[in-house]
Amino acid sequence: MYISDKIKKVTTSSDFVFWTAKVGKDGVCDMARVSGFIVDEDNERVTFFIPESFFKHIRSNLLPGLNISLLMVSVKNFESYQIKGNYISHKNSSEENIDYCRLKVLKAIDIVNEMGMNGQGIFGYLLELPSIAVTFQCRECYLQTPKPGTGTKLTD
Amino acid sequence: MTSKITPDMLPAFQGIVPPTLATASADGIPNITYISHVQYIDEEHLAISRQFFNKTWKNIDENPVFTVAVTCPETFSVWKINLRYLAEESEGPIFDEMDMMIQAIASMQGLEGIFKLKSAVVCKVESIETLVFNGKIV
Repeated sequence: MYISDKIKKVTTSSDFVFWTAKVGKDGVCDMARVSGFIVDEDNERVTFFIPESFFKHIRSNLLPGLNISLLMVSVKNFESYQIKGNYISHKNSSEENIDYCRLKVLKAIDIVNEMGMNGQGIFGYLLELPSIAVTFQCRECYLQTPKPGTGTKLTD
Repeated sequence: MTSKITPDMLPAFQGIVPPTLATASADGIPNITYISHVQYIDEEHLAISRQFFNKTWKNIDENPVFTVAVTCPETFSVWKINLRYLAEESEGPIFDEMDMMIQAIASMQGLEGIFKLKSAVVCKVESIETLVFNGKIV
């Protein structure tokens, strides 16, 4: 499935919080914060960036094909989306990836500070290195902004 | 890893930072979403607010063990709490207290009328893991 244009726009914003989740062998979700994500040129694969110290929380049984989800929520207005897909691979984030995330996280800290909250407290640890780049194949995209009808599948 | 809520975690249940809820379907597909509120009942029990979460509810029906991440608004520590579904309450003191909190949260966020509480989902705390402690990933 192609990534929705609504979700691609999130990659140009800096006011979003990201979480990933996958299911462990015990049937319970493992979850962790994510620093940022990009959409591959093929418009079907997503790569997200996660501090290695968070990656260890989702690493067990992370084999190709495993179901994985990525949530994105705006801290300004709770505009939310979820991408569901299948894990492909992971590797160390490149310098370019790290620079991309650093800019996004620093901007997010500024935005949250301007809202009167502690941006460093909420986002600062996402700058921790090393960082891992996790790639997955998108299968479905959902609108999850809190309102009646939330959970609608995005088809554009 | 522990299985009881400790006093230092209590600010995470004040409704300031929205919690994140992750559930799994019977066939192993995760679903992750923000929710409005997780309410402290006692050191072994929490209640989560049910407003919309259609897919979440279907997953809990299939797989009653799920995970919520909560953030302390003072220290920014983050805890991952595994919960087991016990009961759904749409009246009574837990529901009433949560309803008041939801209305306060909605008012703070300018979302009055959208955050209507359907029920308080009472859960047993199965295990707790610290993800972030005092601003550092654990």
